[in-house]
Amino acid sequence: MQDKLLEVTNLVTRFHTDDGVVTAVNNLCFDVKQGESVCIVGESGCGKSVTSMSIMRLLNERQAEVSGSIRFDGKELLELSMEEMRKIRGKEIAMIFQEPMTALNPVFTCGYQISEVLQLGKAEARARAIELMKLVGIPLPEKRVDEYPHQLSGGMRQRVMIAMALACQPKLLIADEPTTALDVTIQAQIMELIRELKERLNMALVLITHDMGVVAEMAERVVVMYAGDAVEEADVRTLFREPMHPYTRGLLASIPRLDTNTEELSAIEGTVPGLFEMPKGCRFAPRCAQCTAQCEMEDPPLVDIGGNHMVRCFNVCDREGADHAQA
Amino acid sequence: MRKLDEVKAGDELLRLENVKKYYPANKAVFKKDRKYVKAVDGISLSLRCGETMGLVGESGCGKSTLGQTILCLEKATAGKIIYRGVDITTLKKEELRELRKEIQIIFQDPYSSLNPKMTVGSIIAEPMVIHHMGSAAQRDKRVGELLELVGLRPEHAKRYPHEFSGGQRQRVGIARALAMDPKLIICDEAVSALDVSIQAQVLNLLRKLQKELGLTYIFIAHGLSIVKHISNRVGVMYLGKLVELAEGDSVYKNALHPYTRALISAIPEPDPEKVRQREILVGDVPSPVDPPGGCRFHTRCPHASERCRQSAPEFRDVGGGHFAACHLIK
Repeated sequence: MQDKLLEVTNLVTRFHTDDGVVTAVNNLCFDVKQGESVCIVGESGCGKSVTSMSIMRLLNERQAEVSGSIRFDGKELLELSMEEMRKIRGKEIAMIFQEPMTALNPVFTCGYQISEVLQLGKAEARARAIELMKLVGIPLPEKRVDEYPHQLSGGMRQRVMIAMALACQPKLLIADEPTTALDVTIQAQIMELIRELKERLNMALVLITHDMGVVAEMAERVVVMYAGDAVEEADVRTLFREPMHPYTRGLLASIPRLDTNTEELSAIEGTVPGLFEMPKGCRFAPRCAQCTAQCEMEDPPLVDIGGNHMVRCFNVCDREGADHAQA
Repeated sequence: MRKLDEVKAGDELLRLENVKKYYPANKAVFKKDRKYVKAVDGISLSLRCGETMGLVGESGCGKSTLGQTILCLEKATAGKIIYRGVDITTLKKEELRELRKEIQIIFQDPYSSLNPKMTVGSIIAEPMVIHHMGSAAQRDKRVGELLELVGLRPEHAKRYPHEFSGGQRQRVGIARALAMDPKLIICDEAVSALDVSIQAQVLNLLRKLQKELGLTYIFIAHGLSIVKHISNRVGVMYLGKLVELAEGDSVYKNALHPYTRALISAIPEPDPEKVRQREILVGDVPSPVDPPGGCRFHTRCPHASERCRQSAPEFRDVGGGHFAACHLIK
């Protein structure tokens, strides 16, 4: 049994807005073992990015209320002071953002930004920055180290971001849609790089994405989120082979495939409910074809249906329960 | 306006002959110093009435510029765009306005392509007002019909764009494009900004409308799987040029150009058990201001030879309507 590096239990993130309180993340539980890669997948507004910001405690605490427990390497992150948290950010947990152009500072050179966290002497910092740029596969690092972000292409900027994140050799890397803004051939390069570095440096990875294709290639375990809830969690093969939750199934069926020809895609009808108009029972109920009276009234719990496969659905759990009773 | 040829399903609707669109990249006084961004550099293709032609490529390959050039939103630098027998690059302003009834566009971003100060009803009716079609009452009736056609309700006409979700807004954009009964619709990344489950709804809607109204689409996107799903034929673009053009299936199963093959292998597929040989391209797309000489792909091509660096391959039929531009294809 590997050690649990990150344990998120009952994470609830609420935002206080002028129009009232909204719950962006609702009782989320998952854990990440040492060296494991976990993908959080879902559509816009499902709370996947808020989850990563909550873990890093990057949300403005006057507006956002984060409760539950986030244990990282034996420490409870939610109880740390800002000063203590700052020592963890970048050093033990690093983060890569979606948009490399806005995440980099345009007025500093790439080399300076990479070595900023290291607090080394000038020459030493420069040497280390070049070393890190080599590690992430930037060509001509001796030249690039003195260039500014606008002189680089999107893919190169994302490599600089990764070099920055790796500067302190973190134990956990959180990547929030790291390839979404990139072209598909560049995306393939960056994913290959992240995977290779994760193996080489034995980092754990939390990858946040909306792309099931990326999930299939990168993840060991997958958490599917919908409207703030984790609706299904399983290892990657199980999830793609036997998706159980109606939302996961719908999501997988609505992706156009290259290798098959289908006349019509099976779309999920309706839209994601707004944060102020969350349905009372199961949050997916209004769009679910198998919705029952119970689904509309009660919130289903996340139940393990065997082999660490967790599903939040009354129908699936009842059916599985009945199967077990018969057996 | 010059008389347009009558076309029925299967006839040639649009033909591009060596279309180019260059933008000046500097303000040099002397011609020899001038540099151009060659956004579209010599594209020829033919589109049949009722078919869907997909155009796919990475950012900066010129696919959107080509779409706007076909609409005459951007004036072509050279080449002919022949729509129903008439070269539309030579039309005057008033004639062009007539033509725009026939060719419409759906934009990528449903947030910025709808005026936030107008109601959905007046957004959809605006093209009819511009072309002096019908009375106000007739227009209102037509708006209601159009809203129903795209899966919204007639009473939505009184609402404003911010009251709708992304998918619904894109439906409004589609209704506006349909208002003039166009023959050809250019979908410029029409579903790229939407979530997968909503994307599938809009793709299904576009298909349904094509069947019911006999529309012809040019479907521009960067995702090959979406383009292949909706298109009869797919053209792959790289740095302003078409590198391959074939039936949707053979672009995937029988890809000939090394760029198409790399593009396909780069797409992450939602199947964790598939073992694949990845061809990962090295480097970035070169700048279109100074595209590489010879074959434009040779800087990233794993099979490039001396010949590729020297001469540009011809875009030719390699059998059964499968076009490709590569020296290595026999």
